[in-house]
Amino acid sequence: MLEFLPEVLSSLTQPLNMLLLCAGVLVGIIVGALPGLTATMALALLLPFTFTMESDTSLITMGGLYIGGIYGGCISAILINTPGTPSAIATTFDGYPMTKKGQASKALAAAAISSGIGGIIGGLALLFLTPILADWALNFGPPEYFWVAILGLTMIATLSSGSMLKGLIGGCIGLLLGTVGISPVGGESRYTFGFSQLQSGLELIVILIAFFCIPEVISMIENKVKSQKSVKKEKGIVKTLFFYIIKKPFFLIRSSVIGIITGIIPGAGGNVASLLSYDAAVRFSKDKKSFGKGNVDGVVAAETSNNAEVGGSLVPLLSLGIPGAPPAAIILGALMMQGITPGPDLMSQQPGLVYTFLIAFVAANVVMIIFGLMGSGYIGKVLSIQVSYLAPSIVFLTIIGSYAIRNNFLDVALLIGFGLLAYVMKNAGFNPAPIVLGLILGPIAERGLAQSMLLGEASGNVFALFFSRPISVVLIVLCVLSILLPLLSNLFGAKNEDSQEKLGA
Amino acid sequence: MKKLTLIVVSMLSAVLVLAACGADAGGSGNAENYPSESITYSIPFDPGGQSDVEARRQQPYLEESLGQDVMIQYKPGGGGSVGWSELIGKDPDGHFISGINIPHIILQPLANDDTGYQTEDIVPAAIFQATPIGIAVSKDSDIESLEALVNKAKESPGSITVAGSGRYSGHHIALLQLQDLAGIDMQYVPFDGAAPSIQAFLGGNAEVIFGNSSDLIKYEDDMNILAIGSEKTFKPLPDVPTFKELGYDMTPGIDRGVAVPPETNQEVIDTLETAFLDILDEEGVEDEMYNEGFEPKRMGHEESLEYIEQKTEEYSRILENVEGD
Amino acid sequence: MQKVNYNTISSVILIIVAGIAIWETRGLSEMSYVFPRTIEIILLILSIAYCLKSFIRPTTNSLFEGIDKRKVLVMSLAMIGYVILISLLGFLIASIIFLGSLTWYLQRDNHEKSSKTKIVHVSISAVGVSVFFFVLFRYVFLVPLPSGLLLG
Repeated sequence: MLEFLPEVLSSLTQPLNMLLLCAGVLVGIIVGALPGLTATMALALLLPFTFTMESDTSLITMGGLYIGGIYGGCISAILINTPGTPSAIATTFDGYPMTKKGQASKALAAAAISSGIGGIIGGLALLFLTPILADWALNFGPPEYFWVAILGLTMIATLSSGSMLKGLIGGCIGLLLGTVGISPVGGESRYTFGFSQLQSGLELIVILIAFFCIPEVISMIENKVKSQKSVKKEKGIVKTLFFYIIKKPFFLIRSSVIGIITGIIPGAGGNVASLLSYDAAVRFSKDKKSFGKGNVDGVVAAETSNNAEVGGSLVPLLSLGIPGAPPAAIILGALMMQGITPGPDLMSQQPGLVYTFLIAFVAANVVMIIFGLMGSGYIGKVLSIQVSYLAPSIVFLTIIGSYAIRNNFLDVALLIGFGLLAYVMKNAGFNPAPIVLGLILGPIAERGLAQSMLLGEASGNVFALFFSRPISVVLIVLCVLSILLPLLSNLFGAKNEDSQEKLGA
Repeated sequence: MKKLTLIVVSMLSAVLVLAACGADAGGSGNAENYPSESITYSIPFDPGGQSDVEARRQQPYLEESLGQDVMIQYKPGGGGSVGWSELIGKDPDGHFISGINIPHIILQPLANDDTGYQTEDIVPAAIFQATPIGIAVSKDSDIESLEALVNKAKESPGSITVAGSGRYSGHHIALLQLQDLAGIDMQYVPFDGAAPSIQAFLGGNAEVIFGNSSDLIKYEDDMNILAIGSEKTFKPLPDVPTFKELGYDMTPGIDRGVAVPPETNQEVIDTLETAFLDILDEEGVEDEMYNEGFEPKRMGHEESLEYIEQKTEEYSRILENVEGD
Repeated sequence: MQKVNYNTISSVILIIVAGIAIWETRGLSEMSYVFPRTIEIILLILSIAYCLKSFIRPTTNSLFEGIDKRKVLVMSLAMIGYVILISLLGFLIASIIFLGSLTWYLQRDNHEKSSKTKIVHVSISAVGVSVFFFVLFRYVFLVPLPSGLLLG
């Protein structure tokens, strides 16, 4: 790739490209932070403008926007418990509790640093490992999707604070919500109750906002002391945090690897990546109980992996022409409109363009860290607004957001309906996290299951298809470990408080 | 304080006046001076998809010939059904138009009762493009021709796996048609779109794939394309026989066009028909389409209606056969 | 809510939901029902276990304990009302009414400001926020926000 360096550098150092890179990141952050406006949507809005740009300029701008958008989602996740994009779900688990403790700035800064590091690692993987990773991605067939989803579901154990039984029930409810709409393999419509709009299923973002944000807004007004807590400004916090984070290389690499792998697998996005990485962080931590109560490691794990996922999701796009995530699909469209058809030979036909994009991608992450850190001190100020103004405005924003996703009024009604249901359920001890987990993983699991059954029927051995493929076996072992390890550690490490609590639940 | 109150009151009234104006403007629609305002061109699929690529190509030409802004709106969901359900409820003044895909608009109402529109509700103004559907096997496969595939399927019914995008979709109906004509039975595995089905095929999870011409061209080096669904030899793939040439009377493909809500004025339809079909005469447009793997088509309103009717009959028959099994 | 344990009530609701969901899968083909029906059966079993547990080890506290029920009720009704208003009056006007009235209600305990000042502040913020975001979405992000049945 060195022979392309002059071309890459001359393209990147053009003032217009640099300016648009920064602008892309900034706009991405803003759009990502608004609930309901996603990175996908921002890219779609940008699409017509890229039409008139040079192909390198359009790719650089889109890359910046994509990166900014995924990071921006964490801002609303941390401040108002509302994932701005689905990728930021796991960020709410510890980010919002940190805000409640008055550490919003710290959480935002940690998110910026770890997002940037994750993004850079993802970018480097994209730069150097694309051909190898792409081949690997092809080994992922329907049975593997099924097992990945099952592995994800074992996280219910980590995510259900309180009662495990309620966590499992919540997971089932989420899985059921995920079956609304046209069956992915059977082609028949289910549980639409006559609403044709429901044929495309429940919109994930609407359900996310309903389950995470609405209950929180209601609690906010009911108990008005909470959010008036001022954001503490600590001096030198950025430096301390930075060293705190980079002193955990294993932790960072693990989170990034999870993100990259999840990104490569088409169909599983940043939301799955951040959840899996959060789960791993909790499981490997010595201090499990502090998660969910404002442990900065939870934010770091989630943000590192969802930004590493961005790099991963571009791997199949650049090497095979298959978009790994919805935003990548739009970048594919932009390329096609430029007259470039990404396919297996993109890298050999347009090497200069591809490398320019990749280097710009890494640079965009650096820009993002800078913007994120600059903003972290100020953005937290949002919380000092009086509840009487803040709470209605949040409801207002979520309503716009849920409508904007697909211009569908039914989504607005569903948002409020599910939001109120979520408030009642939360008070009855049902944590929203397992429900949302089920909703995300349900369709992946169902497709994997049904497609594998069809493939198995044809080969005459359904059982072998599920249990004998190499990646499947690895995934199955991980599932079993994930279920058994907590039980075993409870048995051996007996009599600590943790195990008593789990038994009691 | 009074000053502030005054400001607020004036702002409120300004907003109300604006809103009232908006309400007025929305209702008017006169065929004589059509188009009298900006046109919303709804794409019932995700941005960046094939329908979008075509719409983006058309947008500048349309704006020039119609003399109004054309705004592209995405309304993905339900394989297009969400967007088409919206279309039929819109004011029939021609300021809201939507891309349509055949066979989608025929198969969806046939497959599910709650689709939200009927095929007859959709009034086509023109059909301008098609993506022929082809059938392919892996480069490493021992199957060399469609005939060999048919023979193999006859020997071991139900054991050949075929990847495609969705059930009751263009790919699915193409498979059903082939099975019907050849008297064979294969195992169809629907994936969540064209990209995932190609991924599964390239990964060796399915032996055969039904794919859109654009995708087949993209992965030409990795696959052996056995037949393609165009009427005549498909320009970008000159060596690939058509189904018809091989003795199977079928032309599977996805036709793209544009439609208006029911009861739209005939003059409006004519204006749109001309505007859309004229684009094909613009220099370089046809070549661009071929390069991307599309086939230009020129069907006006009447012709499109007949075509949809004919396809509806054809598909209903195939589906009835399947359900009769 | 005092006599009957809320866990029992929710478990019964869940059992009914699972039952209805299983009933709804009738008439679907195998590929469409295999996944939801499996989940529904698991849900049914878990709900029955939950129901039994609620009898064996009843919880003593009631749902919404220590919560200002009136405020929660007002907030919930306001949100439902907001949705209905949007469908009638369109997004912009409904938002101004919702933001204005809810903010007004939430400030009712605040006696520092005179009610006149409050009205002014509330109106400015309601109109300002609504118009700003309406313009932002309508003209910058090109998202057409919902229009009502009665007004544009």
